[in-house]
Amino acid sequence: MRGLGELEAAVMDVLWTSDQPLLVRAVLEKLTRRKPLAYTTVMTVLDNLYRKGYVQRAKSGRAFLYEPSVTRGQAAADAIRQILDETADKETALLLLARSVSEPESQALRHGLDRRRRRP
Amino acid sequence: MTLALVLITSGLTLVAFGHQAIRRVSGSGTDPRVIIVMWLIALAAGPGMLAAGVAVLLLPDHAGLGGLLRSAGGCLVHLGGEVMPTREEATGLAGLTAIVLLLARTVVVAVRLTRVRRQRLEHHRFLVALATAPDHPQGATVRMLQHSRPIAYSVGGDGGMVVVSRGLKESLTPDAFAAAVEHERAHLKGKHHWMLASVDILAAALPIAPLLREAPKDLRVLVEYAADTSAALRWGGSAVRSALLAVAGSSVPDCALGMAGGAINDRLARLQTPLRHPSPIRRHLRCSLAGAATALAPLLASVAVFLLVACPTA
Repeated sequence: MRGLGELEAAVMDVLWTSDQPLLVRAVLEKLTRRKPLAYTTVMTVLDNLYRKGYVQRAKSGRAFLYEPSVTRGQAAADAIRQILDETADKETALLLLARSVSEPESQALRHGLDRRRRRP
Repeated sequence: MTLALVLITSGLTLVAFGHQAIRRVSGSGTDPRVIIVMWLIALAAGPGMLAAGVAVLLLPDHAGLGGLLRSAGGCLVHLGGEVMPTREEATGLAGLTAIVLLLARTVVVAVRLTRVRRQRLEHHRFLVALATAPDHPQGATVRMLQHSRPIAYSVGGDGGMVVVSRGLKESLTPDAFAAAVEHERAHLKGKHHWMLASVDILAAALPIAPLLREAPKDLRVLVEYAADTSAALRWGGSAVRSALLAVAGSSVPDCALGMAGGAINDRLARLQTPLRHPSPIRRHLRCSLAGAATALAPLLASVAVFLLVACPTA
């Protein structure tokens, strides 16, 4: 496993393969079989995933129980769409944008481009 | 004083005109890796010489160094001989203050840019891991996206990864597809992501220095040239050209480097000329010589100018 991003994906994998909501400690135990990790690291990762909307949580005593808020298929499809957005043909996107802007917006764009040309 | 002046003049020359000199000496047939080395040496040597010059000014007994030069070079110290030490020290302190301020600014910019870059990078790795999870074990270097659009890029950082798409594989011959993967692997192997992130920081922190400001633009194209060369040496120029044409319409995520990185027309043209296979020893020698020349040229030029100024009759 490499970096935080892949750790997040690994945590999602643990939650998807579990048939019930899990405590941080349970996620940690399942992950630690592959690589030793700190409790706080897993807690931070679950918190990140909660903020990004990939997991939901419910209070259980003093701790949280976590479960996925999207299915594996949905998450994969959404990830591909986001990657495609980033690798989209920016030239075409800009042409489409240029065609759709109003006259004041177009003037503002022209002004900005002129300034950039003067100070490359 | 003379040594300090030589160092400071050399540093300033490199920082102000180094980019123009490098562009002038690097023709279209030059090995891109040699030009990359020249850029990196110039980026290190320019500010390094400025700092060294200031350090010499502040050395308590640098008269000893001057004396050494006097006996060796005859009239080298002529210029500095009459200068009051207090003025030298004042100049040195002003230089030191400037260096400390510039360093502090660089550190602040580095922290800010690195934080943003890392967040983007990790989120992107998360997305790639989610998108490719069923087919790939965690930690795999090459990941394939199940999509028809031809895509090829690499993501740096700890244990980088190469991302390609099914569409790319299906639209290319096996050799051309392998060339695309090799191109991306070359970015990872050459630590190009790290290199560009570093020059981006320098350019953002000190845009007033032309060498630092221009470096990201040139190096972005040069790393693509270098990756093309690596792929072409293994799979042939025409395989790389096919791969390049396949990805030409797409873009690359901000946090990544990719085949569609830029200068596509120039790169297609470069790949038409047959590549020579330089031996590793010859390549290292060339890189070392180019690097040494980049650092020494401004020093020698400054010394020559000082000799001319100080000893007009010599």
